[in-house]
Amino acid sequence: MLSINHLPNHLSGEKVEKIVRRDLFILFKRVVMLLFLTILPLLFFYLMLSVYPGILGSVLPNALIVLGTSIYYLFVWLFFGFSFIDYYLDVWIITNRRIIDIQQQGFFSRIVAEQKLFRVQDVTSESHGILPTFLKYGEVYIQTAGTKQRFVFHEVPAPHGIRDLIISLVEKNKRKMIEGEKLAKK
Amino acid sequence: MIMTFPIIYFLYVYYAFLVIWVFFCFVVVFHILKYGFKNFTNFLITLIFIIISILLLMASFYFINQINWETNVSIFKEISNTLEY
Repeated sequence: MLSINHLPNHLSGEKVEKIVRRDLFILFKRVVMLLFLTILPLLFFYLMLSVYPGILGSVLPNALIVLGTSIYYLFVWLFFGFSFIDYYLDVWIITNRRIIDIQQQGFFSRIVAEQKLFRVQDVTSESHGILPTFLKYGEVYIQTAGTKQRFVFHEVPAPHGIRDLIISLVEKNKRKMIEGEKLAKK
Repeated sequence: MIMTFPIIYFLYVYYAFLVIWVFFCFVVVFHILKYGFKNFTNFLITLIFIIISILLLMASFYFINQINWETNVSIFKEISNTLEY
């Protein structure tokens, strides 16, 4: 289990500045989908009963409808669980020393990458489209000199604010490094 | 041709699906507990997922228990009866 106080490979003096997940609207869209899939069989039964009014009086169709409906709702709930995990376990952690990118890709597949802030070369934020513009979510691209050349924060809330935060942390980090080098030379 | 069999066979197929479902539910809970943050939200999410899963199972078995699974059905006769309604 992750803990804010015990990040993977915790560095000395490291402080968590921000934990970023995708915008809540992304989760909202999935909840709407869940509600739609919940209502769908009701509409189906309504139509079916208007065509075959006596269908529930017969043993076999009744049993099949009960079992089918149960399987349908159980699996809709399970797929919502999958979808929620995909949202909830994709996290970007910004600390005063580094950026940690945690991506859950389906089950049993998890990618954890990190970049030290002093390696960050360029930070770009984008917000394209009507909904992202009004709801203020978008992408943040972080260009680094590391192995993973580009970190992308997908559909995160307030991307421009996150960009500003990262830029200010990078500048602070680089200033500290330069001061440290000067002290070492003396 | 009339084929007669007990409808409990359908219940066995249902149980097979249920085993798969329970397995994946454990996988969901495992992922939330293992990879989520150690905080109250994580605990609450796990609890909600488990409670709704149990409620769905309870509702399912409420309806399943109302059916007499020992009934034998003649499949082609049953289909023609159903369509007659």
